[in-house]
Amino acid sequence: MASYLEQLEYLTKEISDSFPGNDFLISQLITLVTTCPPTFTYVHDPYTTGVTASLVNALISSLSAVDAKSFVPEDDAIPTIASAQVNAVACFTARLFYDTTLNRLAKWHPLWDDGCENWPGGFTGVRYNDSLDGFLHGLRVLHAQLSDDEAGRTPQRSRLKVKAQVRKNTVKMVLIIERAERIKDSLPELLVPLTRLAELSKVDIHTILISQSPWEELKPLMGAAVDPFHLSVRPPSQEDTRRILVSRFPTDGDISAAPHAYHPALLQFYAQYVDALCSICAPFTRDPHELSYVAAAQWPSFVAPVLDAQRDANQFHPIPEDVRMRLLRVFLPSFTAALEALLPRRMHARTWSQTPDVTDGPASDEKGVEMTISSLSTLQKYILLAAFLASSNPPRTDMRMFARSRETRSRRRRGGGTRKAPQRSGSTPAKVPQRLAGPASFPLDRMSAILAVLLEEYDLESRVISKEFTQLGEYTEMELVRVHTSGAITELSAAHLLLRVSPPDRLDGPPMYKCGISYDVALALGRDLRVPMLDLIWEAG
Amino acid sequence: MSLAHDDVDATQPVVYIPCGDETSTEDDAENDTDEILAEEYSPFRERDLPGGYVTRFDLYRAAWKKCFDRMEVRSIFRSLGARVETRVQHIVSALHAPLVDEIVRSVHRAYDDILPGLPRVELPVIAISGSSTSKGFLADVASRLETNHAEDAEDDDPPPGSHITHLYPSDCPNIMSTMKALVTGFVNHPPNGKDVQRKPVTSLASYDIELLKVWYGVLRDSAEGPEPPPQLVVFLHDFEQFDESVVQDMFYICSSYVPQLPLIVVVALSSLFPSFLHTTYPQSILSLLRVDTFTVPSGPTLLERVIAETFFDLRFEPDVMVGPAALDYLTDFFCRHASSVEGALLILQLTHFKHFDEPLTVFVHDELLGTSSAELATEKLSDPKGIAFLTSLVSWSFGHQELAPNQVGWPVNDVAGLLASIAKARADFRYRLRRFKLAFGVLLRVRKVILNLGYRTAEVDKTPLEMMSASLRGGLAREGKYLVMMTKKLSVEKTQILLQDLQSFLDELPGHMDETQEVRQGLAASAELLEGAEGAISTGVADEFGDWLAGYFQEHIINLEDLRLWEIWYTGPTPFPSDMLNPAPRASVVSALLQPQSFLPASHNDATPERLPIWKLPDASILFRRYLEAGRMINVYDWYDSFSQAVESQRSHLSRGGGEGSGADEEEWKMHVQARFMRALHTLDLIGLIKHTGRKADHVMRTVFDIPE
Amino acid sequence: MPAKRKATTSQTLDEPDATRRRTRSNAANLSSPSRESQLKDPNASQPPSSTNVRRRVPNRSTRSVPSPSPTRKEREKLLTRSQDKAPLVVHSETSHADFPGDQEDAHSDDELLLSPNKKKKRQETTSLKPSQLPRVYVEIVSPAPRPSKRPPAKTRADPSSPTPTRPKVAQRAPPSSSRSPTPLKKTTANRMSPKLLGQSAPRGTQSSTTQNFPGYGYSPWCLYAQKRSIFHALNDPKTAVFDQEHENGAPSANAIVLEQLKTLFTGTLERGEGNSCLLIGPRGSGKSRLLDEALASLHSQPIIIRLSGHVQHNDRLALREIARQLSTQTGRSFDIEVTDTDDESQRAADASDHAVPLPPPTYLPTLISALPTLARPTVLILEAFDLFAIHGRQALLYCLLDTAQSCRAGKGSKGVAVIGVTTRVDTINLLEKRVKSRFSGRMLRTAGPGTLDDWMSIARNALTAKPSPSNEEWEVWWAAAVEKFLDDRSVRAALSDTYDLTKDVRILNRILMDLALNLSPTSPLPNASRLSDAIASQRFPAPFPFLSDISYPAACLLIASVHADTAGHESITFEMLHDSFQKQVRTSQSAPVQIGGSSIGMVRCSKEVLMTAFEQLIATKVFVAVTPIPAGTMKQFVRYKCMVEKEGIRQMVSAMGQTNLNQWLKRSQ
Repeated sequence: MASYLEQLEYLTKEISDSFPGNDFLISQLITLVTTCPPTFTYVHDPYTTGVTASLVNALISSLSAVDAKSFVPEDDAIPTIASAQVNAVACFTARLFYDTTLNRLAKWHPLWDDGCENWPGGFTGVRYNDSLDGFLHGLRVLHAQLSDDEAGRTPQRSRLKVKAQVRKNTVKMVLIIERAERIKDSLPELLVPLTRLAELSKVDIHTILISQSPWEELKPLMGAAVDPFHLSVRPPSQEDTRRILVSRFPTDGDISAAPHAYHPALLQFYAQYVDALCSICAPFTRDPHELSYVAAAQWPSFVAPVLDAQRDANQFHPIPEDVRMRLLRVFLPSFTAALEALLPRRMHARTWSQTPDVTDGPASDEKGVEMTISSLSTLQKYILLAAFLASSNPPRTDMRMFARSRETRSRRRRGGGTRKAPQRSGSTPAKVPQRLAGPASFPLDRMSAILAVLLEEYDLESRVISKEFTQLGEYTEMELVRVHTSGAITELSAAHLLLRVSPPDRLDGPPMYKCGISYDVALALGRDLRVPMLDLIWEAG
Repeated sequence: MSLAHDDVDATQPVVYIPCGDETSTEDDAENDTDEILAEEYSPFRERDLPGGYVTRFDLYRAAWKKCFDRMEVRSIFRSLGARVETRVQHIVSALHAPLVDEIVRSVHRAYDDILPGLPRVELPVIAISGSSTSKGFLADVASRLETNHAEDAEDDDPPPGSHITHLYPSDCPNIMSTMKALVTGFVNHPPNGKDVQRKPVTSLASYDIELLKVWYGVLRDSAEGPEPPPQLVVFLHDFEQFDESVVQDMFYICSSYVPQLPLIVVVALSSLFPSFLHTTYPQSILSLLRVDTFTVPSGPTLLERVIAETFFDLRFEPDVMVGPAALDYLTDFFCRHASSVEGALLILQLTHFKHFDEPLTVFVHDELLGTSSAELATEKLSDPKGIAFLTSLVSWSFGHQELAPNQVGWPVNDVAGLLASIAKARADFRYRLRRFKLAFGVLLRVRKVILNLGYRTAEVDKTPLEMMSASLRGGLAREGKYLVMMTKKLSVEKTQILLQDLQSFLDELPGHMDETQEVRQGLAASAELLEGAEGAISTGVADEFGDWLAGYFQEHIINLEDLRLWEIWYTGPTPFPSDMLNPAPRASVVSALLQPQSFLPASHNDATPERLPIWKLPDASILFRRYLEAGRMINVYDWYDSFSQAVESQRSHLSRGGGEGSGADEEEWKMHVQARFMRALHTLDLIGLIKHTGRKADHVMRTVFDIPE
Repeated sequence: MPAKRKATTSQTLDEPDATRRRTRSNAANLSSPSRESQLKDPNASQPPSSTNVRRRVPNRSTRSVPSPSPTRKEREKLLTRSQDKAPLVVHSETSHADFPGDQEDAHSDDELLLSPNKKKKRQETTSLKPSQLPRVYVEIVSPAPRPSKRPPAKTRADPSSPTPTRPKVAQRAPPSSSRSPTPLKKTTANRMSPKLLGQSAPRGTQSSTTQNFPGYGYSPWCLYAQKRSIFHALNDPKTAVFDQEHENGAPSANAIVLEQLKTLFTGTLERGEGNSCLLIGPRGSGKSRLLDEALASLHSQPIIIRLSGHVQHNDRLALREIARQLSTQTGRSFDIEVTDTDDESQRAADASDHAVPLPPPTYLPTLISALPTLARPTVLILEAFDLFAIHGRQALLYCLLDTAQSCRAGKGSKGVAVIGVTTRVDTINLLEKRVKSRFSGRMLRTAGPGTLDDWMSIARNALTAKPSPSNEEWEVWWAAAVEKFLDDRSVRAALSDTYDLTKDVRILNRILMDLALNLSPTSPLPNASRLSDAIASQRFPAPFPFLSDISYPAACLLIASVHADTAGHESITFEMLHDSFQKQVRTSQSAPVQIGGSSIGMVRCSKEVLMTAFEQLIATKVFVAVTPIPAGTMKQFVRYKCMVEKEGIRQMVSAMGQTNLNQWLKRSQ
């Protein structure tokens, strides 16, 4: 009599094997869906949303695959489940949402040859994707279709084999929406109806929202939406993480095969490796996906010595304990480097696994800076420097920093001493240094003035100056208004190294810009051009 | 300069295209310059050959075309989608070829070598940074992907075919249009030939990626057996211009359909800023991707290659040799402003263009002067109208000592003889130039070998480009000496190496060139010396060779300006007209308005004092003076008043002694003044010095404030 | 929160106190009480979880024997260090450790077990360490098949059912022994939070099928069926006890409303009246349900048109929908000539995503005025009536009410009834004058459950819903269990807490559902702690449940944001956080913290990794941008606000138990 339950047990086991560490959620969901779920459930999973989504998907779809008629008829309450999983990002318009939902609920696959038609819903020419009303009608028609006989059933919908059974069993529809937080932006008008879908459509349908953000974030105003039944998923524990990682070991299970990196005999060693890895990397990220990414990237180079040891062996010899220990000890430092290179995806796993040079990781950042600098033309470099200075120095200090004549210079030095004073005094919160608060925006004129100073002071001798420019600075003045200077500025802002703040079509007043390069890049540029940046930045250091 | 503008390459000639159509090609650029020059611009009118300009212009075209075909940077004037054939002698695309191959290969392998054990299948993304430095690059890649790949012999299995869609920022303001462009880009080519009419409302939406999935299903099934399923490649051009959130969503959606849809995204970063993706996009998106970064070669090496293989290559003889001044400017410009091939080419073109201002350049090819036969040319030259030209020709072609009065008779005493002497001069110039090139080539080669032998100092603190210009100045003596000195120091076997290398260098050259004989002999001599040489005297061999080398350089690396009539074939020290390429439009407009006398044709104004009295100025200038004196907003009526006063004074100055007109023509005069005012006003408006304000009907706003008076 | 305080003062001081504390701790982060109790005394050095595991396992496994476990000694140390009445607490705790077994099985002898239990608890509350209480609850929840205690239980519960041979099977049951380590380790690793304790549930059920033996003598099928019936009872609103009469015989508000509705409908149906009325009542007070009941009770079936303000955002949509429903219910087609969309071009179709082909507004009066002429009387139900009042010029309402008003009885025309359903009491004021004047002014008010007793009886009805197929023994046993559960004073207190916050029945439903959902064959009994868990997770789910085990970089960022806050910066950028983090690392490595002679500096962490953590926190809404992000702002300079309050961060840090983090955080106060 409990055969249905056994089926469920079997499912539970199956799924919790493929998704370790989620047993609780799984059992909850199974119980809910198979009995009488609340019309609106909200699954809050801050960390592993993707995993949970796929879990729920697998679960529901396998539940809907369960054939209700195969169980003893005396229990009439075994539901037939039709499910649809919809991604709120992928469905960015209402029509897309309606189409996808109905097609998936009906297990309808559009065919190219009949013009990729959507689920026709029995009658032809009716469209259910025009509005919410249409959608609700579609749901009703679909539900009727599913629960009574195969009127207008097409070969695609093969699930409803036994009409008698279907007639007897109740049909549940389950609509799962992942990345639900996006509904608020993309389909705001749908949010409230979704929470009340069952009541609006008078159909036995259950909405499950899966999101990374708490319900409070989505909740529409004035209590228009029904409050959901909350389920919240905890991030996997260390132990679960380990299990997940080990379960990801991509072995073909052919024990007799010649030694290779994914030989089944290595599984136990892999577990050790994973433990070591987790002990290093787990504190830095809780996401099992990322951890397994790092693990997969590091494994080939890690196991390489072992493989070399028994290259010519045609089947695997167990690895002595001391070798393992030594390996682990040797590789321990490299784990951190791997994490720092791989987690931000400065490198992707394959490159890392091919170039297991530990020192390569951190260096790549400077390499990026070098690339940037080398790619710029001299004028662009100067423009960037000027922009950086304009963005980081308060305008009132320009006179002190860039004034040309001697005595103002000396004043600037003195100014250097006094400028600490305002920060010390006053109960008002200390001002955030500009380089932390982000670049300030500046008018183009100011930047070109600074640029003039820079060019005049540091660039003059390196230029071929044509004869007609006699008086001091005239050449630079001319340089600034040339086509290529503005061209260079445009180029830079196209490369997002210089950020235009004011709208391009604004005519009156100079255009406003913001500097797009970081402090380090600016310093590197200064070094490259032999410009003493630290003297020119107001809040140096 | 809106950012949406598809090419931000500021080297587009503001100068040459007055009526502002960006899409003007090489030809019409020439054409309108044609009439421009024909009408106003003719620098040496006094000593020009009648109709010489047109003749020279054709010559210019021929010369530049020759040079341009040599460089064959085909990408400049072609749109991106265009099919482009790869040719070996392509200098630039030859530079690119290896990278293109690599990219194409990595596209093909995108779904083959996936590291096992990764948490999810990633969407392969290929980021090409610096693709803007030469626009043909992407076209190369695309065409290589489209055409089926016979040349990829190294992969044993045939590479998968690929369908390509191009996305541009302008098509993708929001996610819907982006997905639509993406999907329809593929789906519009029906998979199995027959296209099916989709019902607009009851079918899948055109921006639904499910549609693409269905389409691809048919495509894959229709593909016959052995070959791997086709790939879907998406090009994102000017990637920086795309809206971040849109691209994020697009990546997310695409990655959720991988690998059922073998999508591959090729991202074209217009700038050389490789870490753009990482600085801009969150890790949650990056973790969906597998980014491979490539960088298009650029910078001085590129330029160096282009110049070396154009002007310093023995296999190629340009009509006009570029002089050091232009070369220096080119180098400086390339490093300072736009390090793009197009920019460099533009400069070279302008150099040619300017060169043909010189009337004598009519002789660059032959003495026909654009006529069909020598006789015609002769009589054309003896045409009295061209006497100025003839005299100048004579004075140029013979130095003073030859023309000195104490000489008896003329070196040539008829026009035909003159022409013949020119022909001789040309041949001589060509000959010397070839030998010069060869010597320079040898010099570079020696330098290279010694560098390879590991002597860092041989890199005589000059970049190859610098060496080129120096050599043209004949200023390579020091470097030459230094290299010779080092050569002498070489040991036997190293000398051996050097000799062999030079030998092979010669063999690479086309054999018929007699210039090489001298070098061959030199080499052969020292070679056989080396044959019979024991260790003792071997250093002597090096000495010998060194001395020979020194002599050789001394003799051949010369200042081309010492040659007779060099002005015809050699731009020499003439400075590059940088204002043509890199003008300061606003500044020049303003100064033109301030000092019109220095811009107007010389006949118009007699003496040019610093600042003309206002009544002498043309109307626009008068208005502009007043404009500068006004505040931020200008009351048009007051402006008109002041203008009419100025015009009154002008009138009184001009019509001295003339009796006052009657009331009737007073009326007429007023209207006349008004008309002039309006015209001047509109002129300023057209130039963009006036901004209309909605607030006050009778006021206009200034747009220029800080004017260096 | 204040409401709750008020409530608890009226109650006895022990359990409500506990529950309140629990709900708060749960609201802050789902940290299990046992840990919370530990972090109540800050100077207790936190053992890392791994050691935690090792320490607790023996404790749990040997719990049935009330012997001094290692934990106990360790805790004694811990507590004596924190100057507490250690022996008392420990004593009570150990006594609870073996208490629940009896409580779960035996409900007859729980009186004599409860009484000392209560006494101890009082002492604790007086002993200024109520935070120990939650630990008590956790121990009660803890599910572990303890066969040794089963036979007496069953003999007491129902003498007839399972023979005592079964327990032996259970005892030998390999799964229960082989399986126990994993779940136990896991749960302890998660510091025994009640939710995760549940994780052993599916295992229990697995065992039940693998050896066809349930935890408690009844097949898991019984529990499953029970759950199912409970969910049914909760989801379909037949269980509205508060419709029945009050004790004093006066009919309840809803009963009256029902009657009035029926009379109204009969008027419309039989005498062809045009009626209009508003059905007003708080959420969950059964408006729609009463309406359905009334409609179901009718003899002849009218045409029923249902509209909802949530769906039909404007009159034209509503119009279209009315026509559609009419044509489905009466064979006649009311289709409106809209542009035929089939021959549209593709892009027109894309456009039509936004612009649905709609009937012209002029069609409105013709359609509505046609209503009385139909074959059958019409009933229009407007859910979210107040939203219709927002529509332009209230044209639809005007037409409807006008038709309803003007259709006179006995002109051969059929009746029309317009029922507006809304929660807004002031809806009538939203109507324009001309509309209001056509409205009959009849307003029926429904009411939710009036008293806490209503709630209790709702809970009783729901929990004791008859499972199908029915199983006598089980039902008796279960009913007894439910009774005991409901009689528990702490249960009543917890419910009244919630009741004082909101009288919405649906919250109660959700709470009960959560309660029932987490029952597992290994521990099938509802009890107070489970209830309070349910309340915590349903009434106000914790916004950031994950703070308890957050990654190291994220923690650093949060601490840094606290520092920024104390420095007076109300909004922060990533660069600021990163800067202060680096400073901290530098200082901590120059002047390392001394712990037991060993020096621990802060672990350094690359900027990108920090940024990754930062983005993660943004995605989970811990950091929220203060302003809409202006275009062309680099992501490390966007200004954010931290949504976690200091207290939460403090708890988080001390829960992580890393001394240097603790030190760093302390420097901010």
